[in-house]
This record gives sequence, C-alpha cells and structure tokens, in this order.
Amino acid sequence: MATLSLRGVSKRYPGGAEVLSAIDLEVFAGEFVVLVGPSGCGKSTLLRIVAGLVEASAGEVWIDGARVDDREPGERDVAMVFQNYALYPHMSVRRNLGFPLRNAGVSKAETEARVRRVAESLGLSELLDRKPAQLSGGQMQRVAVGRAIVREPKVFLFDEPLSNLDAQLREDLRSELKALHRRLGITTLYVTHDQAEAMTLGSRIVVLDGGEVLQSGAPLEVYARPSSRFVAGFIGAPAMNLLEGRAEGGVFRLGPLEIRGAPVSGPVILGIRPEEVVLEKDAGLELAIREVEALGNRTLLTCPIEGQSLRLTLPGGASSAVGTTISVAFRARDLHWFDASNGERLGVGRGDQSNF
Amino acid sequence: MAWKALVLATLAAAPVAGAVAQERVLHVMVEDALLVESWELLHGLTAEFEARHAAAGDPVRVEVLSLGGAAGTQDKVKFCLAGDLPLDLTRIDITELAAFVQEGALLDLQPYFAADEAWDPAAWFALCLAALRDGEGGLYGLPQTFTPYVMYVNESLLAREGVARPPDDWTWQDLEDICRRVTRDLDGDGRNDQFGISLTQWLQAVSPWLWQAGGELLAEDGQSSRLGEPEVIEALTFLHRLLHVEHLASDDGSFANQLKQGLFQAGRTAFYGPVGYWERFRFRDIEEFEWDVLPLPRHRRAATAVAMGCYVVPRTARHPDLAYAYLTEVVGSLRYQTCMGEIGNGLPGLIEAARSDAVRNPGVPPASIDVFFDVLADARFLPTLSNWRKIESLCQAELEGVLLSGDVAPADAAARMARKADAYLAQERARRGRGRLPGFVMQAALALSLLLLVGTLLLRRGPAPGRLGLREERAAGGFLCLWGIGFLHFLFGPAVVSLVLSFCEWSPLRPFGDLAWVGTENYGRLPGDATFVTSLRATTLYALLSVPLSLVLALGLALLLRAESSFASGVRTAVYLPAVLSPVIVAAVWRYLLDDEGLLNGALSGLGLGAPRWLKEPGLVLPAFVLMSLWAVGTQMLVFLAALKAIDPALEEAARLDGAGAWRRLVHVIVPQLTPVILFNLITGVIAAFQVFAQPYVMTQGGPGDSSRFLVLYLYESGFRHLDMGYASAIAWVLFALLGVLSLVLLRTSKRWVHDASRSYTS
Repeated sequence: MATLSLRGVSKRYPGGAEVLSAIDLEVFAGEFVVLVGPSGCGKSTLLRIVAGLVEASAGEVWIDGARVDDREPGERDVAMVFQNYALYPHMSVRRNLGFPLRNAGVSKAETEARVRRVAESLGLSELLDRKPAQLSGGQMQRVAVGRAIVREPKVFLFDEPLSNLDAQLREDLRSELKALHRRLGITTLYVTHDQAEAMTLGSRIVVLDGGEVLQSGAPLEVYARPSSRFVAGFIGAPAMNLLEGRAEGGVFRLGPLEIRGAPVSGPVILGIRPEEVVLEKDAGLELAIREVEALGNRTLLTCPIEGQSLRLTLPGGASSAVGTTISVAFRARDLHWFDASNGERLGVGRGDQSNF
Repeated sequence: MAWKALVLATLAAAPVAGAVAQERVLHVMVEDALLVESWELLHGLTAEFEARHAAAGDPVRVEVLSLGGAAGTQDKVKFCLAGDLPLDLTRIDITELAAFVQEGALLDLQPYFAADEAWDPAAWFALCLAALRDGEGGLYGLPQTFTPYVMYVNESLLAREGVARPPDDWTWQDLEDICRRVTRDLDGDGRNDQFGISLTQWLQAVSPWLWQAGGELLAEDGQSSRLGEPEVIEALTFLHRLLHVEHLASDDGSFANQLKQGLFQAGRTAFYGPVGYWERFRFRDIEEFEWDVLPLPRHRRAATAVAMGCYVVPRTARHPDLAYAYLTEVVGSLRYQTCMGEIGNGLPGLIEAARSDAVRNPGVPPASIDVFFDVLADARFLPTLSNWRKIESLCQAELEGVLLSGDVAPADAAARMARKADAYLAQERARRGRGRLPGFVMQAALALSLLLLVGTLLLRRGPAPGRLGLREERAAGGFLCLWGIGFLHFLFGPAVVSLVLSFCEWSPLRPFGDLAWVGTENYGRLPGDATFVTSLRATTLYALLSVPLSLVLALGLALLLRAESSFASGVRTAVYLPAVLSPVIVAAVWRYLLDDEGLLNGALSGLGLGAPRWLKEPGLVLPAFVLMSLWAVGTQMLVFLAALKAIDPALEEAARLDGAGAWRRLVHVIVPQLTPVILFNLITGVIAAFQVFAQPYVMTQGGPGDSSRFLVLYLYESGFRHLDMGYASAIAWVLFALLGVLSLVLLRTSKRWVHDASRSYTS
C-alpha cells in the first residue's frame, strides 16, 4: 500500500489558460479518493499528470515516498483504466491481460498463471480467447480492470471508467469496484463527473473546479456542509436550491419569503436542499406549482419565486397538480448561507461541528 | 430533358459540320527544329503554299504537327498510324523505312514524281535517293537532311601537345598513338583528365569501326547476322581497349550524354566521334580552341555510316496529292533545305542547298567542311531490314556491356549479339507468310465479349427489386451510364483488343484488323526470350527491394512526422511533394542527380566515398532506381499518417502505462493496428513497382545492357519500337496475370497477419 501526494501541481498549456493551479493533494495508503467536478475542471489532466501521460508545468508527484515526475508512465508502478477501456483490439483477452506482465519481463508460465487468477476473480475465465470486439461493454470494462490489477500496482487510476455504460450496468459495476477495492486495498484515485458515483465510491471526495480544489472531505461531510455555493449546487441530486435575496438586520427577504438568522446584511444566497423543504399548512409562504415530476418513489415540484425557482421533493404518492398552491416552511438547521459576491460559505449552519 | 436536347443537337450538327468543311486539311508531322528561324521559315513557306492553293480555288489548310523530343521521334508517327489519326506527310528516320514499306504503310510516290515535270532526281544526292527506293522502282519520299559520321578534332590541343594533325587517310594505329601521347593527368590528382578521344557508343556510331575492320552487321541476303565474326570482335576489342584497358578514351560520348557539354567541348579530348554534321552547330560557340573535322581513321578499309531523316507519305494519307505538293514545294524546297543545313540539322539532301555558301559558310569552322562530302564515297546506311529496330536494340544492350560498363568481354558480347540477332531473324522468317484473318474478327470479338458482359450482368441480377428498389435502380442506371461508356471505351474495349492481339501478329503500321493468327506463339516465345527473362528478373528484383524499403521508410517517416508542429508539417509537405510531380520530371531531375558528375556524386566524393557510375554500371542501376523510388514515398507516408491519426491515442497511453517501451509499443500496439493499410500499401506498391516505366524510359532507355529494361518498358518497346503489338499484348497479359496472382496470394495470407476490426466482430 502506497501513498500518493501531489505538491503544488500546476498545468499551463502554451498560449492557453491555466488548467490546474498549484494543487496539493494527499491520498493516503489504501484510500479511495474521487476527483469530481464538471467537464473542463482539470480533473482528468490531474489524473494524467499522476500517470505520467501529461507533464506538469510545476509541482511534484510522489508515490510511496519517491518522487516520480521524471519517470516514464511504465516506471511509476501505477495502473490506469480508461474511459473507453483502451483494450488492444488485435489481442485476445488473454494477451490483453498478460501484456503488462510480458513488458515487465515476467515469464510466460508465470504470466499465464496470474492471468488465470485475475480472470477468475473477475469472472472472465470463459472469455480469455475472445477479442475485445466480441465482448459486451461490461465485459470490456472488467478486462480493463483486470489489466490494471494483474500486475498489482501501487496506485490505481480510473478515468471516468463507467461513463460509457448504461445506467443499470453502471450501478452493478460501481458496487463491484467498491468490493474490489475493499478486497485489494490498493490506493486509488478515481475521476468522475457523476456526483452519485463520487458519493458512493469514495472514502473521500475532492471537488475540483477551474483548476482548483474547492473542497475535500468525506462524501457526507461535503454533502452536509458544502464549502461554497458551487459545491452546494454540484453535490446532491436534485441540486440544492440557491435563492438570491437581500438580508437586513438578520432577516433574509425574497418577495414573500422572510427568514431570520441571516449572518450578514446585504445581498446573500440562501441554500436549502429540496428534500429538506417541508410542507406546512399556514406557514406563511404560499407558492404556486409550476411543474410536477413524478419519479415513482418521490415527486419533484418546482415553484416560481420572484423570478427564481424553488424545488422540493415529496414522497412518491403525493398528489399535486400544476397551478395549485402549496404552503412550505424551512427549518433553521437546514439552511446554508453563501456570500453573494464570491460564493463562499457564511456563518453557522448544520455541520458546523465538522472539521472540514 | 436537357441532355436529350444536347444529344440531338450534337447528332444534328455532325453532318452539317462535314458539309461546311470544303477546305482540305493537310496534316504534316515535322521534326522539332531547334531554332526559331526554321519554324518561321516553315510557317512562311506553308502560308505561301496555302495562298497558292487558295488562289487556284482549292482552299487548303496545313496542320503542322511536331514529332516531339528525340526519344519519341519514331513513336509518335506509329501512334498516329495505329490510332488511325489523320497524317498526310511525316518525317521518319531512314532506319525505319523498310519496316514501314514492308507493312505497306507508305505510299509509293514514284507515279507522282514521274508525272511531275519539275522533278529532277539529279538535284539530290544519289546516295540518299537510293536509300529511299525499294528494289522494284518505287520511291517513297525525299531526304530532309543527312550526315555521314566523321571525326571532330581539337587542333589546338594537338598543337599544344606537339602532335601533327593526322592526314585524311590516317589509321587506327595513328589514332591509338596520338591518344597515347595526349592522354595525361593535367592537374596532378592521379587521375587522367585529358583524353585522346571522346568515343560515341550507339550502334550507328560503332558500326563504322566494324566495317573498317572488314566486318559486317548482316549477311548480304539479310537472313543471318555476321556479328560474331572475328572482324567484329577485333573492332570491339580495339574500342574496349581504348576505353577500359588503356583508358585513352572517355565514355562521355554515350547516347545519354550526347546533349550535354562533353569533354571535347570542354577542350579536354583531342578527338570526338564518330559523329555527324549536327555537332557543328553545337560547337559553333567554342572560342577556346580551334577545331576541325577529319574522315574516320581506317583499318582494313575506309568506311563510315550515314544517318538520314526523310519525309514520306503514309498510305492512309487523305490527300496524297497535296502531300506530294507540300513535300516538293515546302520541305523539299531549296530555301527550307538550305535553312535546315544552316541551323545544323544535317546536310541538305538537295545538292544545291548542301553546296551553297549559306551551308558551307566558309568563315565558320570546320575549315575542312568538304570532308563531309568526301567521305560519302565510303559511306553506307545501316542495313535496311523490316525489323532492324529490334536487332539494333538487341545489339545496343550488348554493346553497352562492352563500351559503357566495360565488364563484358568483346568476344562474348559479339557471340551473344550474333546469337540473338540470328534467333530473331529466324523467328521473323517463320512469321512471314502467315495467313491473315478476315477483317471482321476483331469487331466480332468485341461484340461477343460485350454480349458476354451484358449476359453475365443480367444473369447475376438478384431477386426482383421492390417499387423503391426499382426507382433506385433506374437512378443508378442514369448515373452509371456515362461512366459505363467510358468503361467500355477505355478499359473493357482495349482489354479485349489486347487479349485478341496477344494471340495474333499485328504491326501498328498495318490497318487495324489486318491480323495474322499465331495462336499461343506469342506466349510461347516469352520463356525463350532472353530480354524478357532479364526484364522479368530485373523488375522482380526492383519490386523486392523497393517495395519493402519504401514501406519501412514511409512508416518511419510517418511515425516521425505525425506530431503536430509547423516543422513536422513542413517536412511532411516536402516529403509528399515528389508525389505531385510528373514521373517524367522526377526522372529528369534524378538523371542529373545521378549523373557521373551529378549532385549525388559531388556529395559522395566530397565525403571521400568515390563517385559510383549509377546509371552506367549494370550492378548499380537497379539500386539507383530503388533509391529513386524511396524518394517518392510521400503517398505511402500519407496513408500511414492517416491511419496513425485514426488509432485511438488511449491505446498507446495504455501501453505506456503497461510498461511497454517504444519498440514494444511499435511492434505490439501500433503496427498491428496499421496492418490493413500495410496490406494496402503493399499491394499498391507491388503493382506500381511492376509497372515502373517513366523513370527507365527517361533515364536509361533500359540500359546499361538490359539491366533496367523493366517489363513495361520492354512491353512498350516491343509494341511501338519493334512493331510487334501481339507480343507486347502477351507481355501485358502475363504481367496482369502475375500481378493478379501476387495480389491474391497477399490477400489470402493477409488473414493471418492483418488485424481487421470488421472481421473480428463476426468470427
């Protein structure tokens, strides 16, 4: 088990903008860290810098106490699973799995034995003589994982490995990956833009945007106490309601909405998760329903409020019709406050006890 | 409906156009004259000719066509005759006359001469007119110009070396003595740079030596050769000794070097020859030394050769009367004849023109201009034989071994020349007297094959299409019909014709359809034809060397240049550039690069690596062509580049992460992905290599010897030089079969080594 640490890693393309600026990141031995962020946030670049496929403009990459910036990808003892699997199309599954071992000079017999073992553990034994084009998406994914684990690397890198699969398969493989990590305990850095994947897989998630780490922490901590307006909107589905209004004397106002407890005066953003909005008769905030999305296990309502909109989730059976009005209330402990100018979290709120 | 209107309009216009054309059009093929003066004169005389006819109420327009460069001189006329293009009067070389006459391709002009009161045979050199007659009183044309072969001499050099100018009756021994005295190393670098003689080497220039030794090219009856006789060997041995044993002669007088500034012009050889009158024109600007001409040295007897160009009227001429008039009034006129003499094309055949001051030009060298007239007593033409060209090319290939590369013993070369010539003569005798096929055979074959084609298409038609399918079929038919016309006319038709021809004997000088059936004889001749076997071997060797090397080089370049940078794209463009050039231009450029004193040798000798004689050594000429082919790998590189770009970059990244080094990545990841385009480049490369033509045609004409006489060049020569279209067609079909089999073998074995993404889905 090895640690992976990035120290002040930056990437700037010639003539282009800075993709990563001075990233510091520590992945502890055996940890499963998920890098999450929207497209173009630099998460894949960061992963490729670790792999050695892209060279950082500045900063250092350390694996297991050794600086590896100057090493070829093959010399870093990392393995990577690509988004499109990158299986060698002309090689059988057996040769695909054995290729890293043959490159490392492992004997034929030894290679065969290890390929068998890995294939067995991934349920690929029947497929060893097939070519990649004869495999289904899920099978290809397993071969790609098998090729990564066959030589027992110090660090696993995953670059959106599930995004080419359909929803059901994605969920199955998600839990397989999680089980695999539990079994092997290899230090893992995993890149995704899917916050659900991030929440379920990671022992820690790192939210990246604009080439900077916005927040890093255990998934539920990040969920409970987003450090910024961006993280708040990015983690959690459906996304947190972020209402822009004005506060004066501790009272936040947005049209008919009046909330006490605002930490500052002036323009401010009030955040509340849709599932934490409660229905309460005569609570004082009457809203007309503009849209109803019945998902079966729950129902999603959208209501206009002063040109913005508020979304809330109700249990599956709730019957609501477009055009009717509902009366909602917010509990103080569910409120998040963000600075309207820079989006940073303000004052107290649930999760204040968190260390992060 | 627009196209229907167009077709109708075209059909309607055709007869109208025919009716309007009342003036007669005379098609005349003339030799490219080097000077503007001769063109202006010709066009002036032509205009006068037209004006005279117009005044007489017989409007005539003369189309003056040009023969093109020296190499094509003989070929273009044959193309015109074979292709049934209009041609009323043309220049041909006297060595081809017999072939034209024997095939009945020329009109006997004797009746026209006889009816012409102004005709005076005594006005022309008797020697020249005699060559234009057949044995039965026919006279086929008039000379343009002619020249005996003489020796040019640098008098200043002789004086400087204290050697007296030899007398007109000098001998081989005198020549050798003088050569020995003047051949020296002037700049002290250990190599001779002043030679006795710059020796010319084509058959017509070599023949005088054979005759002087008492030898003959052919027996008097023309039925067998005398090339293997001791006199011939003696002459060849003498020349070989001068060139390659004693190194008293320089070989810059080979045919390929003829138009370059040679050593004589540079003042570094005492003699230059045997060569004709035309060099007088080239040497007129020499101011550094005094030069003159001498008769050729004699041995057992005095002898020299005569070259001549003449104007003849094809039997297919549409206006023979006009052609005769143009022959005597324009190209045979005193003014034009004088002009051709003045500009150095040759000596005019018209005596008055040849003796005129304008031609003799007393103020201009050579002082001894009369030598050209004096040697005529001992001068003769090359044998007039219907297939002389073929024998000439057989001999030329052997002569190059003795004179150009110098590594063939004269006796061996003579024996082989004799054997090849005899075999060819015997075979030609056997061919003669074969019955001709009825004229409709070719048309019948074409019609039959067309029926077969249509029948096959109809039989292979799938199940009846539905309503939409029918509509699409009609649309497809509409789009295909234009292409179909082109296909039938330019691909299918010629293929059928050449297949039929390959079982027949046909000369392009005969009317199309005048065929003699020979069965499989043309194919049967191939294995016994030493030239064909050599040609096949040379072509195969060339393909074996050039194809794999080009593939490796193209792949290497593509790998190096696939990066996106302005430098790489600049180099890519540079590497691709040769591919957009015409092969003829490429070949011309390489002829200069590979010249003995060309750029490549300049660089090599600068590095102290010597100066190989790329195009003159039989062992080097093939590597030289391979080198050239490597220069043109741009297209293959482009295909590789496109394929490289299509490879998912993640594959290479995965391989890097999997610890594969650059070599293992190339071998195990990149190359397997490229195998489909490797197969493509391999097959197209093999086909292109077997079809190489323009380069040897321009650069070596197949030499030295037969070492660069690649298949298609030999095919072309067989058809249009040796007038053996059936044999040429047989070669074409053998080549086709060979390429077909090769492609099939490559495709079959490819299943084992080509990664085909589409196939692995289904298997």
